[in-house]
Amino acid sequence: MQEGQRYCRKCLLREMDEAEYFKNMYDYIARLPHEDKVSDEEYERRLSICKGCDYLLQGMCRLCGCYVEMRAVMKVRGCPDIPDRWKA
Amino acid sequence: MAKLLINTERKLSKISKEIYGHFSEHLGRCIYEGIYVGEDSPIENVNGMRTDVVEALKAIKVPVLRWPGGCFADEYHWEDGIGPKEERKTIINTHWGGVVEDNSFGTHEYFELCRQLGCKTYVNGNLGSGTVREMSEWVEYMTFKGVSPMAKLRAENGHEEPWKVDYFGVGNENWGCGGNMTPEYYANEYRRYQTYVRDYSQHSMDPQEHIKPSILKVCCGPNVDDYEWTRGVLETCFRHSEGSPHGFMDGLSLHYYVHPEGWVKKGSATDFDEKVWYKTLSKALYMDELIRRHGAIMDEFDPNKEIAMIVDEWGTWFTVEPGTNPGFLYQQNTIRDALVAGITLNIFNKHSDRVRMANIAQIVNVLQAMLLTEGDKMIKTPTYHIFDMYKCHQDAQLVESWIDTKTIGLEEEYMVPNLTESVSIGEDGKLHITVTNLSVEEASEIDAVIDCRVSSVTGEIVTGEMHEMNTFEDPGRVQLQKFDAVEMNEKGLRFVAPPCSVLHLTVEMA
Repeated sequence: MQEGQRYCRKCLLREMDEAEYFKNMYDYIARLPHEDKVSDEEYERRLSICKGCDYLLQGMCRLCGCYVEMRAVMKVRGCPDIPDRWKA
Repeated sequence: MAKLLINTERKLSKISKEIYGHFSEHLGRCIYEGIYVGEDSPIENVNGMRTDVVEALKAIKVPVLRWPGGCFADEYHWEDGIGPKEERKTIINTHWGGVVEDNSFGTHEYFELCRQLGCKTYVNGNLGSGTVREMSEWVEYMTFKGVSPMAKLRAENGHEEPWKVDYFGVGNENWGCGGNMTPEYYANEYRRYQTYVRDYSQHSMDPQEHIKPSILKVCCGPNVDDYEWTRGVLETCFRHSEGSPHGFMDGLSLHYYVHPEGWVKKGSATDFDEKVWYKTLSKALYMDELIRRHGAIMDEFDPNKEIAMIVDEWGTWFTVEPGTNPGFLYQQNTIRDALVAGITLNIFNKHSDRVRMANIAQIVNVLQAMLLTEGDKMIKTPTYHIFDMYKCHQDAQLVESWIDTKTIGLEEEYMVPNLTESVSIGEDGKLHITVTNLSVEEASEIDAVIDCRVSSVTGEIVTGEMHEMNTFEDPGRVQLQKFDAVEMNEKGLRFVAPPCSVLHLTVEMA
């Protein structure tokens, strides 16, 4: 039933293929229904705000743990900072 | 019609409230953002702890909180997390996400959190990369009352009085991230380190003070079905241990996670079909076999069950939510998680003669969390509602019960019973029945035969379509609801458990 009794999670995380993870993420974004996504202009506006934010770390927002290219594309998502930096 | 037989005259064991315990690791957004936001945050807080989170957790009566890890524990150097915050060392959390750890949440903050929650403390020490001296001095720092270098340092850092450490873990997962040790090697290290985890309550000069040993020591136990580890550690710990009760330990840990598609791929938290539903639940049920088989080995060394089995990491572990840092282990939580929680807690209750603490992983924002946060928003997960529902069992007396089940499922390897149950008499004197219906589509009519007359009954339920969850956009979709479709009769009760449900009946006996 089980797969290996002793293992090192640290190594497994290091072994994670980041390139594949990000490719999957971009595929996921591409497959999102059009109506769930913000317009291209709004997407770029949000990302430009993220780029100037101290909470951005290697493409990820440290406040919510999301990669901002994913979060910014979704209509329902807001910026997790207080106040919301994306709100025009 | 399924029969549920309850014999209130046969009291089996006390269900330690610590079975409903929790785990908080410096991982992802569990501590930082999830619990601790700092005193200057615009999010409402008391001494840096989020008020919304603390209040929600108090409502489910968190009995004990394990900290600081997990794998993080065996790389944690406690002295990095004391003293003025601006002077604390900044490190990279290499285990989880590679983000900066500024140590602003350390020993003082942990005890402040436990004070606010009103819960017991379970500190996990560093055996993997720390020294005996480091561990010994941490215990002295936390618990010594009187004149000593560490007590003086604690007072200088603003806390004159010692704290109470209820449980102390001597290493974590030392078969893996905690040092890749063999059972024999770890057990010898355990014997050495635990010697210096001194119980300073024994040295109290105050005659009024209760002086029974107060720190319960937890030895690192097996991962999943590693029976060789359990036997190897116990053999070494019991060898030439005359004069030291039960192999130098009060608890032996067990870790087991449910990941439906296996360790590498795990599977989505929200996108699954009926086959994966049953596969997940069958893996949750495997906890029963693990407890029985590890318990049988423990019985050979400790027939009086003086050593507690402590399942201090358990729960679902899915692929992270799309677009989130894979090292943060952030996952959504559905009705399926509610079932996993209900099933597992029923199993723990039934084994409460041996299992005396369990800590679901983890309390906020990580794995099978109680709460999810985003900025100043917070939502309660379906799992939260199960812990709310099952708090009735805390420190209750387990009574004998049996339920008539049928086997259901879609794949031979992952068939499950359609129902599970556990029953206790609570501190309130009432009978508490918790039942899970594992079927995706079939309700179950249950005839509960109870050996005493029922004078009244109330009920509550968590149920829904198997994918239902709470989101920041729709936070109240899955909730604890009133369940009043219960009929009292001469023999006991009759009710219908809907598919995909966890329910709780509170029965007053005449």
